[in-house]
Amino acid sequence: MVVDREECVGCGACVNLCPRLAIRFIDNKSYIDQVSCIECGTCRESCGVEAIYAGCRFPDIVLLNFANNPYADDTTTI
Amino acid sequence: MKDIYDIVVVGAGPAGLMVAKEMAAAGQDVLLVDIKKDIPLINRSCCTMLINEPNTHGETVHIVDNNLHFEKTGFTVKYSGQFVKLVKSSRLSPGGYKLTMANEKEGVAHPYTKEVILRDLLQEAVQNGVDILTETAGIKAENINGGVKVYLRSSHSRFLKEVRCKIAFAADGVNSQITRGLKLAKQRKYFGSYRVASYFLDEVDYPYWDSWITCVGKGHTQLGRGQIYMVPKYLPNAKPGDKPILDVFCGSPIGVPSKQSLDWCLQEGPFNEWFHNAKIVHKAACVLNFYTCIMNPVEGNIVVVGDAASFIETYCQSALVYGYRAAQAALKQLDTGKGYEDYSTFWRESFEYCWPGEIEKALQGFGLHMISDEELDYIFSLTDKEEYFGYVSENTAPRVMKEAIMSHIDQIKKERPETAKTIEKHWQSSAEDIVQA
Ligand SMILES: Cc1cc2nc3c(=O)[nH]c(=O)nc-3n(C[C@H](O)[C@H](O)[C@H](O)COP(=O)(O)OP(=O)(O)OC[C@H]3O[C@@H](n4cnc5c(N)ncnc54)[C@H](O)[C@@H]3O)c2cc1C
Ligand code: SF4
Ligand code: SF4
Repeated sequence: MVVDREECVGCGACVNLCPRLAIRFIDNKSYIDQVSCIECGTCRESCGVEAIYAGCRFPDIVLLNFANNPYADDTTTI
Repeated sequence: MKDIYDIVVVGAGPAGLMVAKEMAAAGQDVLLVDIKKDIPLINRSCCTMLINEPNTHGETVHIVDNNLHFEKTGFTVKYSGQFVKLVKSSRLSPGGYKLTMANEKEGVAHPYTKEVILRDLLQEAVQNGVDILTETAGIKAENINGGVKVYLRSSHSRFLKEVRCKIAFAADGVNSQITRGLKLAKQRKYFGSYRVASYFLDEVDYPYWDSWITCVGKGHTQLGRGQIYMVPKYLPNAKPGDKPILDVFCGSPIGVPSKQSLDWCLQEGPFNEWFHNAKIVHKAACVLNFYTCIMNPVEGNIVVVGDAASFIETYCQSALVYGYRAAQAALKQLDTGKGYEDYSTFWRESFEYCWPGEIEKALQGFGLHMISDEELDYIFSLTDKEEYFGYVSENTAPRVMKEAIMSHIDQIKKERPETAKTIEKHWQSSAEDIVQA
């Protein structure tokens, strides 16, 4: 998840709710450490002013996962 | 910063600041940490009303020479800001009818500026020699032989820092990180979570500057879930003669967007005409996990104070009292090896939410969820012109409300027998029912 620091009002609530301790409080606003975040969504669900959103962090890797899937059935179309 | 202190306090809200300043005043070597960079800055929603009702959470607080005087415990907290005197507390139905609790003489509550209190407490803590680390999170506290090990992490570091102390205080608020890591947290029952969005509004065309308003009923929000509150207060930089602003906030269960509900209420709600020219001058928010109280707030040498131990909130004034009492108890413990019990007994005996049935009673005064808007308008039309003696305290207001409504029950039974049944059923609803609704 990503914090929109313009929208974040700095209430500090999400910091203690993150099960991965991924949220830092910097300059009185939240910042999510992208390496620690597991996209569980707890912070986004909790933020009173809806300042947290899902940003796809690794678009290239997502594509790669599909390309490399050994169980993919080439004949199946979506 | 050192590796060993006498005392480590996690969280510099009213509870933590009071503990830190008192312990340092008694000659202890104290470290105080907070995730905030500017400790007095308040961006967490809070009405900051001084609840002047006698015996609130075991204490009676008076305004003496503009300061907060705590009569029973016997101490004074300096305050150099302004108060708003509210003389009414009204529940407002979507159709604009009211149930009003009033106290013209003493007021029902006095909103003040929390920043000013925290700034003064912080200054005292610094003068008393407290070491302060900002942008530092308390991660965990562990009882070890002869004391406590506290794990801290700077907002700018990947590493944990261990600090040892004789006694650690968890004062990190309602979603306490430190408390979650303790065994005593396992005994708590969880009801659900609420999130809050709040705007401080200037230029509102508002009829209730002398009141604390709780909007009840579904019609105040777009989705019919969540509750809107309104309270006049001063901004931290207000000068004498300035007008108060209006803090309007919406609390809703997780899953229901509170900010969206608040925006809708201001733009399209039943009283939107009050807000046509309103300007947002500040925003705040918070998340409340509803847990039952920690009944024994001391585990080994880790002492839990303020909201960290409580159901929803202790109030700022009581966070100060519990901080003060916990500090005195800890000093006695250090001195005689026996002292914590003073604090935990006082906590259990004074904090109403530790008593059986109190949580249900308080929630029943807020969530009149079973009663439809049309019925609410009808009931409040019967009470609209009346005033019942009372205050804002969530522990006593529900009783006054109940008596007010029940004083009309014969008429309601005659005119609206179904509504009368719903009302009687409401007073039986459980805490879970109300939180979930
Ligand atoms: C909507 C709302 C309305 C309220 N209205 C009133 C009212 O009218 N009157 C009243 O008296 N009270 C009111 N309260 C309650 C009041 O805000 C609290 O009871 C009071 O602030 C509790 O003080 P505290 O010191 O225990 O916790 P807090 O004030 O929450 O302070 C906790 C501190 O710990 C810090 N912190 C959090 N986590 C960590 C961590 N992991 N590490 C380090 N630091 C951390 C935070 O930054 C904060 O500074 C209201 C609360 C809410 C939510
Ligand atoms: S919960 Fe929302 S407003 Fe509060 S600190 Fe986190 S991102 Fe900011
Ligand atoms: S999504 Fe989950 S893991 Fe990521 S920051 Fe939010 S709460 Fe933490």
